[in-house]
Amino acid sequence: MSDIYQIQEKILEIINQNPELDEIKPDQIDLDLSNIGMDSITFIRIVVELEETFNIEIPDEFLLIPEMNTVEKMMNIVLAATEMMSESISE
Amino acid sequence: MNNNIMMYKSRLTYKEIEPVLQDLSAIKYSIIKGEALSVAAYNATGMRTSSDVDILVSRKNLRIIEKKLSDIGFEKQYSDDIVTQRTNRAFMLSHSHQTTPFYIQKSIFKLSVDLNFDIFWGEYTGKRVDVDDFLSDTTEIEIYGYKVKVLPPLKAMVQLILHHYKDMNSIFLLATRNSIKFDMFKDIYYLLKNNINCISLDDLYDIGLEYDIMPYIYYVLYYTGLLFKDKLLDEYISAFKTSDGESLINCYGLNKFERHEWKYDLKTRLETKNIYELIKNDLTDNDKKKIQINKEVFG
Repeated sequence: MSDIYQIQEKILEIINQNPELDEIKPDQIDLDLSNIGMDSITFIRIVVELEETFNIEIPDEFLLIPEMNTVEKMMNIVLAATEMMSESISE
Repeated sequence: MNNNIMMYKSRLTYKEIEPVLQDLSAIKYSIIKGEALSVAAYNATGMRTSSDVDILVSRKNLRIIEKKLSDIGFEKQYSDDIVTQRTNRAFMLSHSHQTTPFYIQKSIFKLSVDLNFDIFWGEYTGKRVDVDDFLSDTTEIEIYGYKVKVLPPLKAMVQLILHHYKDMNSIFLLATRNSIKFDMFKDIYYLLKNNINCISLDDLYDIGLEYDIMPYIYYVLYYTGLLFKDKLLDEYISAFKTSDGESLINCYGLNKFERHEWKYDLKTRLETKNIYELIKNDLTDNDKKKIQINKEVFG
């Protein structure tokens, strides 16, 4: 799944599966999710779901709420992690 | 535990990890707390009641040192379930400053290494200090005859202050580890007293501004000053006093959502056998949920 819009759509779907968060729309990709109810427990749930959905492992240095508190940041990290996985497989 | 036994365990641990530390030329690290602090604050090993070894590395180098420890036989207690392993690691990295301990059994002793990957607590929302930058000016000393890298006294003080602020304010640690102890303040006092040329008021002030940690310096020095009456310390406390720092005094909780006011003075907090009994009526459902998750990850 390499298309950026498909990634965005999937990330929005994952986030909007959490009832404690206000629903987030495609034009809100730079909204701080902490401001719509993302707490530490929801954050972990989203991280694990992202990793399972995209078959990636998010690098340790990005596993901080400020590094992943918007859809846009999550998209960039998912893309980078996907590329890293592809490179390791081809090696 | 008897102090001689602790020193023996500590010495054994240094012996075990020496090959790893010698092999870390490519990454920056520092031994922190434990014997490194004993030497810095008291000019001798064995002056603190700890046998664990704590190592500070950056997050991006964490897996490198984890693999090196695993290669020489250190293990972690992992859940068998992969999803739980990953959930626990994600929680640890986003909500803590250190990994769950690595252990190795040597005869009757279980030796322990803690890997620290941040000088701030997980919930910290301010500007984080780049750990590799923080580790850029370590010096080499010998502990039990083994060459190790340690922080210069000024940065050791910064690391210790932030560590103690966390211990005094983390609801999980307060509830489960009784994490306010007299020795914390003794360490701060003697680290300052015995390194006054390297931890001048101007130097500490400058680094406090640079790292934006002035309120935390004030908080820890203020409480140290309640236990150690010293004019020099009073000068430092006055210099660091700000409204932000004062607003943290007599409160606990690592962020504004978890902040509660203490109903008990420092003496009571130090003397109680169970800090949880002092705070349990303050805790929200969210606080209790977080304590539970931390227990599942860290034990």
